[in-house]
Amino acid sequence: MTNYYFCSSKNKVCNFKTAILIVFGVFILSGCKKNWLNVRNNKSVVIPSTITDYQALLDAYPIMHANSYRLQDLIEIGTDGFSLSDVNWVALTGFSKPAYIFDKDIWQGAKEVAAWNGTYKRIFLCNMALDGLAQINININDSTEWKTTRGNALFIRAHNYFWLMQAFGAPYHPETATQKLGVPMRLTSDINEKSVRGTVKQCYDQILRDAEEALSLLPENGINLTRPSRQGCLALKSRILLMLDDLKGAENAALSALNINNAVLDYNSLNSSLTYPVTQYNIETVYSDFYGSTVFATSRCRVDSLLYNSYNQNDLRKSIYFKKQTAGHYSFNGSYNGNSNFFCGIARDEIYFILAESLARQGKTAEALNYLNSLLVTRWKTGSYINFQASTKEEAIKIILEERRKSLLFRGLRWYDLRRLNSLYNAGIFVTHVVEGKTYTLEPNSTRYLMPIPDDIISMTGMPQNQR
Amino acid sequence: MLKILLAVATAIATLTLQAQPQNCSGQIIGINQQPLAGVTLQLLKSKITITTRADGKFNLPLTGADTLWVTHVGYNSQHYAVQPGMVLTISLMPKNSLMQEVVVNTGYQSLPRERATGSFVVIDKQTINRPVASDIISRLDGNAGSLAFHADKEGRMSIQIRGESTIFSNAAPLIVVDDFPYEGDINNLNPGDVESVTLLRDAAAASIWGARAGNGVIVIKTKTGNINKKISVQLVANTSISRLPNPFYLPVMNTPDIIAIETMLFNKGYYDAAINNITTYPSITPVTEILLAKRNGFLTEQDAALRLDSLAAIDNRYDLKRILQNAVTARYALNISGGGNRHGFYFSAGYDKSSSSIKAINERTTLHYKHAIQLTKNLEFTSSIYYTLNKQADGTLPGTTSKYLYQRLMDDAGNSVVNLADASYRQSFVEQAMATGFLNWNLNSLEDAALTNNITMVTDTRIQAALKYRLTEGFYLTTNYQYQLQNTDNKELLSEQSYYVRNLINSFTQVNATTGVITNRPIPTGAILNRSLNNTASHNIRGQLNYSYGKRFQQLTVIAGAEARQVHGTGGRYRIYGYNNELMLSNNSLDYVTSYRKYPSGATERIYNGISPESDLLDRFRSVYGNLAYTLYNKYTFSASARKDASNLFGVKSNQRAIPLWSTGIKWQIHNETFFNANWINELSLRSTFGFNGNINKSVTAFATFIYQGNNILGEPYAYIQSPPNPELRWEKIRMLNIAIDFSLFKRNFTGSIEWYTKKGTDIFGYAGLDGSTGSGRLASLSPSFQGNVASMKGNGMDVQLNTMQFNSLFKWHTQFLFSYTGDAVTKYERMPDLLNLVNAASIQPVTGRPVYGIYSFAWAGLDPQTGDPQGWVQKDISKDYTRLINVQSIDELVFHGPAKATVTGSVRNNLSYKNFSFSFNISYKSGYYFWLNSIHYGQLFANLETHSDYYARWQQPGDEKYTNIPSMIYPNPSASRDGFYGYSEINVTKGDHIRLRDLQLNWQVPANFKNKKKIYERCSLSVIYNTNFLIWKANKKGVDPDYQTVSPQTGTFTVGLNIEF
Repeated sequence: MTNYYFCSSKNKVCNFKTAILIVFGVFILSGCKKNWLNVRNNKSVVIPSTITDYQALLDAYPIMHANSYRLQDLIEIGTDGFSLSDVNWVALTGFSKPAYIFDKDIWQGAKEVAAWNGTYKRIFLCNMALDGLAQINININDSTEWKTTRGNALFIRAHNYFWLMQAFGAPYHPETATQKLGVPMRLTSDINEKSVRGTVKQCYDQILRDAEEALSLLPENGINLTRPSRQGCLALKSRILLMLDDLKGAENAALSALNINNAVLDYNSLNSSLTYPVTQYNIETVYSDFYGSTVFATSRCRVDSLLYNSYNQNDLRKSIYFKKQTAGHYSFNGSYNGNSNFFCGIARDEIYFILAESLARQGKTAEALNYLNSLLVTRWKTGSYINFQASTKEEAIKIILEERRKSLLFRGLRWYDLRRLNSLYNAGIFVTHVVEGKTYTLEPNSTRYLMPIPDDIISMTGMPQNQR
Repeated sequence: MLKILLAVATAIATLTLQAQPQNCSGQIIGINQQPLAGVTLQLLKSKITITTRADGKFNLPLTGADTLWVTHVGYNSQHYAVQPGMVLTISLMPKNSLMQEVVVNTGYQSLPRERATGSFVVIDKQTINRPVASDIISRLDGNAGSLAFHADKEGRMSIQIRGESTIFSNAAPLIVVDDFPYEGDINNLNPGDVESVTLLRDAAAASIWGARAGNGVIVIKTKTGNINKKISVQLVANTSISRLPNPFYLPVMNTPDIIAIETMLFNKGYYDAAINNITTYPSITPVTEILLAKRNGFLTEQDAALRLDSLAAIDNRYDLKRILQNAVTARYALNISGGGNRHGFYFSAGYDKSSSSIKAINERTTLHYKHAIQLTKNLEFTSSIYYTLNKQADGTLPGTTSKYLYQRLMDDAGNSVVNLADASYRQSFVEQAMATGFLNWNLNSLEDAALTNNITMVTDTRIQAALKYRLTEGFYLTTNYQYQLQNTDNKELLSEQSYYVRNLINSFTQVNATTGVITNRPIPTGAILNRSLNNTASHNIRGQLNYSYGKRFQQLTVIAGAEARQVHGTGGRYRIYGYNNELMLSNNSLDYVTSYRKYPSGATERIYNGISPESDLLDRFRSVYGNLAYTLYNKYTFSASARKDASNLFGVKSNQRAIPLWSTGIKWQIHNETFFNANWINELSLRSTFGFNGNINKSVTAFATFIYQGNNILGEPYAYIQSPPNPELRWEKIRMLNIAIDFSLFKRNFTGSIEWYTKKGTDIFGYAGLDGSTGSGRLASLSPSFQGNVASMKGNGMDVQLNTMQFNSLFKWHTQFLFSYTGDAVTKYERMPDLLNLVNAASIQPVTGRPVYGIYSFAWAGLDPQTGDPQGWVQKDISKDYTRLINVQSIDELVFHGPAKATVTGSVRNNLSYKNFSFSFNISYKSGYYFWLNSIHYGQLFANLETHSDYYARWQQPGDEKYTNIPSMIYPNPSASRDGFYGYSEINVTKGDHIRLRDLQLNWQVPANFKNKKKIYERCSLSVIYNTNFLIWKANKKGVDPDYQTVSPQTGTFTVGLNIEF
């Protein structure tokens, strides 16, 4: 080798150039694009990334509309209007048995409680979709698809949180709403986030925010009744506002909902000889959802005779809702789900009742009864219905609540009514269940109106338990 | 090794009693004890400077304790604590000599060992070249402290540094070759090209590798050319020949007893179902056929007995013994290196070829070229290319025989024999089918082995380029780039004549149901080719700023850099039917859609298309790192290191967080203290480090994954989540504290180090019990098994290395002792273990407070004295309820024995030499663990004739329970759980402790200049090596080799080797 240099060492410019070159090389590293690391490492792993993918998660029917272990089944067991025979009660398994007698311990050491985990799984899928949609870089004003999917996720999340609040959150009372606890509000899909219970107010605020935003995103009607719609958002909103004693708000939301569509079923057109006279996805349904129940199955659930007898002979609800069983009792067959599963979505009759009640409580008695009558006329034999009249606000409210109870059966809504009526209006309703000669009573505003949070959740998160 | 340890020596001080007050005198010597003249001696306190005289001697006026600074051109400078009256003999080490100081290499920098605080083990060229294995990792076995080799049930080895650091993630150390992580098979590297191997064991040593350092790091440096080095040529050749494997190694039952069992089963009607089966015509063994012929009256009692007797005399393992070959390996390597005044190069070529006992061929060619050039005064450019072609062909001889020992492989003349015992179908059916036009349906085990041609070709290319630019005094800027591409091409050619192909074609042959005439062959005749292709390509780029400062009392080294790395692996597989290897023709017009009726079973099946979807894996890393080491007065060293990794394997939040993995270390060289004056101690240092390393798990993704399920009842497609997204997904973190002492005593005849460490692993991957409110809890049929950073563990251990020189003159005797202890325990794991899997080790079941890998068994209550049934305990009662016994209710019902992996490992190597002859041998040991003994399983014996020689020691009559624990044989087998309980009961657990002789070596350095004639070579050595797995001692009394219970160990191998340097 000679003394030949590729570049003379005396040549300062050359030296400088080389240095620049090397420094450049170093900075290539930091110059790497920001999303250089944002690639999946295994291509065979499918990662949801498109709007269609997220909608597919929300359409996971076996999870989103599972019929087992739903909260409605859990809470409605604690209501009045039905009873179980001792034999049937003894044979019950799981939470149904202690829940029927308002026992302190509902879960009896059970882990991974599906009523809790399943509801939160639905919420998780909504959060997955919401987080994923936020990453999709499109002009959202141009994409109905994006808006609809986000609206779907927000509504389903709100709907599930509403029911969680009925089971595990404290009943609403304006004086305690900022202290008493609701449920953990998980709003992202990050599994590492700690589950912390918010206050009742925080929870309902969030649910209302979700419903409100969904309202701005959703189409007037979903492509089918398992998909949320604007009317569903308004109905859910009015349902919550009624419970929060925001009567004007409830009235407005219910009225806007009925302005979109006010169609209801004419019970005269139903065939009461069918086992399940009301069909699924009927014209009165706004949002279809359902739960399965062992307790409310026709063979076990004995509808209270007082309740049964309270219907007029011309009231078609009597023959459509109830069937005499061979065992001698009357069962409930009037599910808006059209089969042995029980409806827990949103139907238009409820909107009428919300509107009527919120108007009546504001003293707009005539207007309130007007809406009530326009619904009830479709529930009676044609020509037999006589409009309800009331001279006082109290009388009107009483009528509306009685008719509400006679219409919205086994939808989880009786529990909602018992909690709010006792809490807000001191209705003083006692629920009694008799088993093996022993009477169990659920007193108004009892701590047992809050279900205990499953033990494994308490031990893993350290969140406070509901004291029953 | 000793030479290197001597090389650590930088000075020898002697304190004499005849002190001359107010003076310090002595002599400075260099290499070969030559006195050095003109050496500068400087007293730092009194500022006196003198030089040595021609005889290297000096005399310094001293008024009190002072520090002496010794410097000389071409030699490493050294400083010394001196006191009045001392007489010193100081030996200086020349720079750039072979005897230079030991350097530890981290893959990012090289540091002199004295200034390293971390736990490094340097394995030099001599030690690497002592064993003859063709791969570098095997050569480290028994030569590197704390590097443990664990054999699994199939005898495959896995390596581990300092025990367990993870539960479910990769537990292998990171292997770094020439500064970058090595992707692919490390067997591609020719050990002859390796200059040194450094093990990075603790946090300070390894944490520069950040999230991949948790299992320790093995840094391999290949040889390189040097500027101004004269050309040297080295030629290495050796040949190994192994003894034949022992076909009789595994404990099985003898032929007459196998026949006796079959006869018993036949008489009890066990084979009647198979005999009467006219749907699938399962094979009937020759013994059963004879018994059947006798029962049906086709054979007389006498003839049948005669035939059975002749079968009983057969043991097919003798056939195997006849055909097995001596394994032979030949290795050749040539390397040339040298350099001019501006450049240096290294070139090597290696060729290894081995043929195993079953003629499996392994052929490896390696080519390596490295070149360094000084472009300008300040700029150096290095480039290299490393190419390997590795060809592996499966054996063409059968490696095993039929478990029906009377089924011969070949007759006495060596001709293949039709295997009736292991065939798929009964012989009468096969003959009838062949008569109606089916292909030959006989199984010939001997011929069949050669009819499958399975060849794997691996080509590995590594290209490196590096620039080193000197900015100013002490500052260097380096950039390195490496591209590595490894292609693996596997071709499995199943010949048309192979049993697999004939059987497949026949079973898919379509037959007219009424006439029995063959109508169609959906699978064409011809060979089947299975081919899989895999590529791994990696890019690495690194920029690094180096700063070093060294003046008198202080030395500072700082590096800081950034790097990016991408590893992209792709692969796929396909199959060709009707393949003609000569003409490269194929027939791929097959119908893979139709379900064909299979013959004779009538079951319908589609033809397997053999295509597997392309795999595509992409790993990306981006890292920044830094490291500094500061030494004061050659006594106190402080080091610190930090690294931050970001990767697409981690969650977004983890990548955004700026928390690095870091370490710090301190070192105190006590022997350099002024107060230290024990003359028998040449070196005494204390070191301690603390820090964190990481480990990654590529099987877990931070992204949400999901799967489409079809349409829901309203016709919309819907999907399920498989695993939830985990933006917090991060590396496992291993915290390690290391405390060590290094010493050199008695004129460096006794040197060594003792290291002690504890480690604590957090964020260890495990299966999580997540709060159900996260939404990822189980629900009905949906139970995502979520893996996250949920577990914790701890460990501790000790590593001892001692080198002693018993004799050091014409006769030399040097011994190296290695001892490592390591223990681990899971400290946090919430999921309850599956107790049955905990016992049978079918999957890892972490248990809090216990080692990751433990041996658990069922409590044993002896054999029933009346029946010989095994008995266990249910609470405090003796029980024979086997279903209950194997379904234990809590972990407390199980017996915990101890770890399943050796906790103590080590070796002792002795080197003896006399003049040009040297002899060495290596003995290794393992201790502190337990293993399962295999035994008889009656259910398997009846169903598959899986035999075990424990059969002979079984309980047969009352009283036997005093001598044996092997249960009685009962037919029909009362319960499968009876075997399961016995097999996994505590009596089948035993200690694994053992001592093994690894090798014996004799080496002759051939004198370079015979009778004063001109030198024809620089160095030449001849060696004879015997490698063995000979068990010197074992703790278990059953005579079982704990590492080789189900496979026979590698038998003795003789190697003759030649190494010449010109």
